Amino acid sequence: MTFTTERPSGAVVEAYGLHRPGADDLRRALERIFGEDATATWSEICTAAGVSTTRVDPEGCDLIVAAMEHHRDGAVRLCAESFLIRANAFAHLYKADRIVRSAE
Amino acid sequence: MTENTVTGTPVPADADISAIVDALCHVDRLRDIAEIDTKSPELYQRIHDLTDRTQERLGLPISLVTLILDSAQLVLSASGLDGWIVASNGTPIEWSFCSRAVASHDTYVVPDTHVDPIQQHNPLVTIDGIGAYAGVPLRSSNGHLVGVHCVIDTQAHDFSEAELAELRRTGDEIAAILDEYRSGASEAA
Repeated sequence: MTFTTERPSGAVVEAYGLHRPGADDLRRALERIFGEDATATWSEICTAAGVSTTRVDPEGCDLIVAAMEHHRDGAVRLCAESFLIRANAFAHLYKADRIVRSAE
Repeated sequence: MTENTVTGTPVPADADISAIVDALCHVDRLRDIAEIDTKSPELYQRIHDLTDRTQERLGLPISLVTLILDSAQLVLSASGLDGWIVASNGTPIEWSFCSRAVASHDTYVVPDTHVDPIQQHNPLVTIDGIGAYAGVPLRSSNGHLVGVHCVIDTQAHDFSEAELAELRRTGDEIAAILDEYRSGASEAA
């Protein structure tokens, strides 16, 4: 899945109150799961993905998710799966928005 | 987060969503879920047969089995449900009814979502039309609550003790099946 930089908007997305998930969400999820160890885990994942630990663009986010999906720790893999469900939900609701707007 | 059991301390089902999420982020619980081979077609079919059966026995439009991850719920099987939730393989955790069953370690019942103070503003109620919900947590052989077996009505529904007992019985069957599809389960048998 590729995360575009297009700004999300529209009545459907707003009604659900969902934002397009990004690298900050991934890092926060790891912090909730691993606490103080999350920094080292994040650094390791970013290194494996070949992206900076501090500024992650949408393409870099894709690489991080891919690295997490193949991580040795099942909790990290599950964190990536959660992220993809949220991203898919956003994509489907955003698509619905575009259909509604195109019909207006 | 303090713990007094292998699955962590239960939080009330009506707790703030941040407390619910904290309860779900127990690392050992997540690792336990990660051992389940959720991509197995055989597992899917066996679970789907049971969601079909629950849907039929309770006469309700929707029956699900979900796995409760850290920030989303994964829909492992859905009988009577389609649309964006199935296409996305689940929903964000903040809209998940099932997450409250896992976090509270107990059956979670909402007979009328439109008057329920926790759920009445949930977009799955206001937009997608959930009218009533009952879900039982699924406990793995390692003691973790990994998911939920639930039924959903599109209108208010007073769940009887017989209906909840049926849901619990089938939930026990589902939990046993999930245990069969853990990595290393066949070697250990």
